[in-house]
Amino acid sequence: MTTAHAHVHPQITASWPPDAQFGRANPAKLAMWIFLLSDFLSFGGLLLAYGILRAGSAVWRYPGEPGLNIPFTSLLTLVLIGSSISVIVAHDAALQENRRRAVIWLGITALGGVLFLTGQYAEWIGILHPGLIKEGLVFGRSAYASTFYVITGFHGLHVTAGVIYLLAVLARSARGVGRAAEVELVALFWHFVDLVWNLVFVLVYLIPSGVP
Amino acid sequence: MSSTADATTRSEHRTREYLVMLGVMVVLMVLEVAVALVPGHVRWTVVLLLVLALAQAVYFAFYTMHLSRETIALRRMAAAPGLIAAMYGLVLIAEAAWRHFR
Repeated sequence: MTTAHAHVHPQITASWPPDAQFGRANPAKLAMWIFLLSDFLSFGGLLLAYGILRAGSAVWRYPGEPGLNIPFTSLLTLVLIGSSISVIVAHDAALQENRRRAVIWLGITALGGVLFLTGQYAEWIGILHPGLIKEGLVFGRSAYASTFYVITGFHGLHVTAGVIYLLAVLARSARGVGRAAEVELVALFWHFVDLVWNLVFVLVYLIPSGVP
Repeated sequence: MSSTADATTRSEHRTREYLVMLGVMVVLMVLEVAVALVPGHVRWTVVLLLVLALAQAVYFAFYTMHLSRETIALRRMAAAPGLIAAMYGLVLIAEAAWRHFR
């Protein structure tokens, strides 16, 4: 019996006693917050480096380098915002122990992530139209190109990880072994990915359109 | 019967809450795009965009990530990386200004 329960984390399943500092947040949730905060510093470093390079460049976008497609990226941003709401609905359903609804909304959220990644692929490589690479935005040729690919690529990796994480939680929920606490953790990660995208969208896509 | 009615009311309340969240985030995003695309003074455009991005990030953290329901200790912990990044930014701006004006 002890061995059977040794692999289960009772601190997640049990109602965690309120703590003077962290209230009802269980260790898994605190660990996720700590991970997200360290990850935020990674993004912070990249965005600061981008700002320093951008501010110190006499010429940011060289002749022949394409501009970024703001309307298309705005649509991708809307997809991510929508998926942030769908993961909240999934968490809410999990709290109500409505497994079917939780699975459906987790699936919709993952689909949002896949749509976003497809959009990013279309932007970089191209699907119906040539992508930025074919249009002349080549990694390593300018600070504008390199920072664009590094920052959006690093974020894209997070979206990919988020989709895999969502599908793993979805599979566990579908099998009836998932818990609401797990959905809450994946929701935190997904919101973080959306929060960071908002900063990337403003700093990388919107500011260059206004600054020469 | 009353518990069913309560559940329906709670569900309607939650749906309204989700729609408000979605609305606020979409409005902030549309404002950001509008500020970027409408021609104006470059410096003020950048300042406005940064303010809007910060507002959206805070809204995300407080409401969609439910930081507003957490304790003050957890909120301070969550704010720390942003403050550290802001501090680095200020130091770098001050250093650049010093080099420019010395």
